[in-house]
Amino acid sequence: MTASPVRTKPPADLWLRALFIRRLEERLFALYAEGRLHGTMHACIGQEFSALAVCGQLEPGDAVFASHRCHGHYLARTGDAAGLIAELLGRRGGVCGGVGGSQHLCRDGFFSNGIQGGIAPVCAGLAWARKLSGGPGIGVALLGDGTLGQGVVYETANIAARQALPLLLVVEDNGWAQSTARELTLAGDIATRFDSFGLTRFSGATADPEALWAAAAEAIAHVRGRRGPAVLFIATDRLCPHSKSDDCRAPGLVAEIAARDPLSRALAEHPERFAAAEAEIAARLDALVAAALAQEPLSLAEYAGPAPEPPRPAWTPARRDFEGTYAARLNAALGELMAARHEMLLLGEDLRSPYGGAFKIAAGLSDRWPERVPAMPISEAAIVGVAGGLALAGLRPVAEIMFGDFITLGLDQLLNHAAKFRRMYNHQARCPLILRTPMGGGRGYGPTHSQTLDKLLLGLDGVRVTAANLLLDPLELYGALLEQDDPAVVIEHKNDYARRAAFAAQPFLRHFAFERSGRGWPTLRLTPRAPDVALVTYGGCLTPVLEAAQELFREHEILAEIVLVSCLRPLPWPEILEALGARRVFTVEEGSAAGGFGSEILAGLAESGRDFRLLRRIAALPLPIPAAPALERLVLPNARSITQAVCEALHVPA
Amino acid sequence: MNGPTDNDFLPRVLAVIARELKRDPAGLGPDDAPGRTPGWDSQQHMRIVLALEDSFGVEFSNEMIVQLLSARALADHVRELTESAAAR
Amino acid sequence: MSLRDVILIPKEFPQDETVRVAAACVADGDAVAAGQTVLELEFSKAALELPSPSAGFVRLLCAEGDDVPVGAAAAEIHDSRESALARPAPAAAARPGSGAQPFLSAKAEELVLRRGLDTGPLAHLGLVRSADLVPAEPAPAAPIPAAPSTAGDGEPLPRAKLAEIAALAAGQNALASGVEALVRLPGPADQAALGGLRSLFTPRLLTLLCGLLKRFPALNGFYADGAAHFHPAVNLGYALDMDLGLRVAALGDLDGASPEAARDAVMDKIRRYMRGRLAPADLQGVTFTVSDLSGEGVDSFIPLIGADQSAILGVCSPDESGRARLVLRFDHRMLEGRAAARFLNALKTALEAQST
Repeated sequence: MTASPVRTKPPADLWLRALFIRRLEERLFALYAEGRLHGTMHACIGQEFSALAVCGQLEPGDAVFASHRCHGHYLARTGDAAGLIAELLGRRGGVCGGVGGSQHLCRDGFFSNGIQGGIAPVCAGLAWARKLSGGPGIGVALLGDGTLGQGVVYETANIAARQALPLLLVVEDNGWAQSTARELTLAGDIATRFDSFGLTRFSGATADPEALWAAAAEAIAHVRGRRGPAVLFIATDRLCPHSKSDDCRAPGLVAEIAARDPLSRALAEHPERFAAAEAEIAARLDALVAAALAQEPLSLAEYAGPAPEPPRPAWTPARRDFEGTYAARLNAALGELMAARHEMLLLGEDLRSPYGGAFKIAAGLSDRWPERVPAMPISEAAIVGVAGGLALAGLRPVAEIMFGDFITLGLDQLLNHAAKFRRMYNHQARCPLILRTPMGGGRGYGPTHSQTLDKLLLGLDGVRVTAANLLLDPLELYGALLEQDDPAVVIEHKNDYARRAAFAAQPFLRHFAFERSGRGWPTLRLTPRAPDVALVTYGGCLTPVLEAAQELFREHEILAEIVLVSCLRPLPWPEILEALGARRVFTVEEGSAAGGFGSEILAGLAESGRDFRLLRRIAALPLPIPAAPALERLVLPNARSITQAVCEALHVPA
Repeated sequence: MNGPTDNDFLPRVLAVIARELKRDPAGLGPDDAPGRTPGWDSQQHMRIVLALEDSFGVEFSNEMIVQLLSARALADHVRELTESAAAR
Repeated sequence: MSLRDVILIPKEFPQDETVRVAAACVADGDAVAAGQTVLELEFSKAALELPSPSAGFVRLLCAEGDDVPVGAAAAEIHDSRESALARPAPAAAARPGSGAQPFLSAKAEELVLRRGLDTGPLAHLGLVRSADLVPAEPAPAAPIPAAPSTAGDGEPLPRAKLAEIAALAAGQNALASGVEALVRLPGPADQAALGGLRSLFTPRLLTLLCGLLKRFPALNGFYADGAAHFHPAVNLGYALDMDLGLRVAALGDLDGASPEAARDAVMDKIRRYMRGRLAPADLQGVTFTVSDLSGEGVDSFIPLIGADQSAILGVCSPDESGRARLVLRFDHRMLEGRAAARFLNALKTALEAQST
């Protein structure tokens, strides 16, 4: 069944399509009961007309994002029953090769994800891409009434309205969120809550499939006609349990629902209209199930893909001096990249001129590209989500999180959406979103504006985590990130913004060789002759580490080599091991030690098989970072404390 | 506490002295002394002191060197130095 | 590159700015033991061997016939043969400013200032630690297989002895004369009970000497080229001759020092001498020498005046009455007998004034 052109009258075979969906869902239940279907599923029995009304009226260029109860939406949009059944049976012929299963489908602009509400901003991003392209495509997000508990839905509505995105939010209100009746958890009148954002409201009910079809058509036309985002409330009923068998609604209530279900009534009242179709559907389902069961599952090699080649080290001299402050360099680099890449956007709070961002990184950019540097509200989750959607659509968003401390607000979008799209959809999607954020303390900004939270990112599979530093040209870093296809984070240090890289003239450092290996996010090694110890670090810690190295030599005659890493995940092991000459290694980081950068480095060094005499992490104390400068200095590592830690470990009086 | 005859450092000390003087340790006793024992002059005394330092891992102060003027005195002092080092 | 040690050209004689490499005793990549001779060096006054401070694999930085500046690196000791033979790592080549000013640790800087060293020869090191300036535990010059003698019969002497001879000969152009006095040495009355340890009881002699030398500058200088040269300060030398070669240890100016401090200064040098750890710094700059043979049972002897000095005091063994002969040998070109006698009498008076 392909998408039909928008018209207010439903097609003649609407009821048969609904029947197909229902029988398919029932067949899935049966397969589960037989033990052939593993995992979970959320059937849409009773809501078929909703799926058909919305997803049956879309154009090929439209994007749909559904959540867990997505089978009907998928079938209505793509007609791919074979893929759906094979997916749920875990076979290689499945929509996503069996990787995604029931809740994680992807095909031709149809997406679904099992995170409630999180799909909304991604869909907004998909819609935004369509707006920017100038074409007629829209984005449709399918939510339930229960989803209205999730904050990011409102962030999305706000942004969609402010930016006039061609986004249609569809709320399928069946009165139940899993086991909880809506009245227990949602206050007020849910139908009107999007009015305050300025979304145009449409409504219908599966009780009247024809009227619903017309209402959906109207809503779709409104959004496609670029008259603003809209919300379509569909009153419906869920006949089946939430998932497989968890239905604790009173039996009487369920019977009532069944009694008013239009398809059930039609089947009961006019069985002859459906008899032929029933047989055909049954046969078709038999064939599809048999075909799926005959398939092999996907192999691990096909799923995981080839293991990435570890970088082959090749050391060349590294530049020691750059013109201007790091902030100015970064601003210039972003400007150059924005000019060269029309698909690049900058999303973030307070980026617009004349402010240009909290650290002036975006100064002047919104003047040159007002459409591509939009004003964003204080909605980190939606900012990351929208960026994810833009990236899914093939654009290159660079989203700024104003302070690294706030990245936690966007972590769900990073972890459960952006980082997963490529693999869970079996390589059918790419999400090259870039997040950049300044971390670090030392300015007395206090516990929630000073943190170094690399440790929350190092554990994200599927995300490349990089760290900017004074010796790395931001043009090179961002240029390389914009050329690769996976989500990436750039950790900057707010104290680096005002610093200049002027190392050539420093007398102590003139006796160090500065070398680099790798492109984009290179590893740097600063080596003197015959070092006693190694200091491994990244980012903004370079400055106190260099100071400590000088103090260690001047006062204690301990000579340190420095290894400066730019890619924290995955760590470039061949380069790090080659860079390390000394056998006593200290890692230096501004976060606390547990579960952080130093732990990862030490783990890798321990696994390398090389005989290290001493391995130590130098890190911040595991306390919230105080605002009072004297205390902050004691909690965070600095040149003095780094020196002391090295001396202590070497049993040298400090 | 222990009398000089209980000093179990004495045999070892005598062995070191014998080695420096190139003599048979059996021919030496606690009363052997610089100036009295043939070959044990001021030069040899320094040699013996340094050899005892190396052998027992102790360090004689300069004032003690000029006061320890017999094998017994040397052995007693070596015992004192060793015991006080162990107590630390 | 796994570098373990750098061997520097030591400053054995104050007047030597450069040193000639007489012979290379090893080749690049050779395994060497600690103490093993790496190079033979010709200083102005002596030929000496340069030993390796540690075991490892050697890489020479100079060749036979080279004139190398004092303080420069003569060789490197590496952890492995490969490292010793390796071409300099690209890192070394890539290092800009390898001709840059050396960067010194605080301790190294202090040493440089104290000794007035020139940092130029250190430039190649780049980062300089105090250990780079003090040659690690140089072994005393060891005898090497003698070269065939150039003329006549006789058993050839070891190089070290030849160096000693050269050092002694340097002071022997003097018109040497002498005065003697019998002095009751200070110390405990019962000297017999102390056997031959009287040589350890001359601290007061040393402190008094230093004070007196300031009143008799002619005894704290030297004659050269028709002129009398006076040392600006007193640096008392104490002759050590305990079967490890003759060395004169520089004690500095002990005027006003307590007897214990003076004693400790002497004992410190004796210890170092006996452990073979006298560094050039321990031997340099002596302005007047004391040669103490009071423990040797000699009634009298004739000490030899040292280089750049005009006098030497010999201490002989006490007789039965407890008096010992002091022998002052002096260069008649610097002072007359009467002045020398006055000096010796002043010393005797001061010593006897405090005897118990």
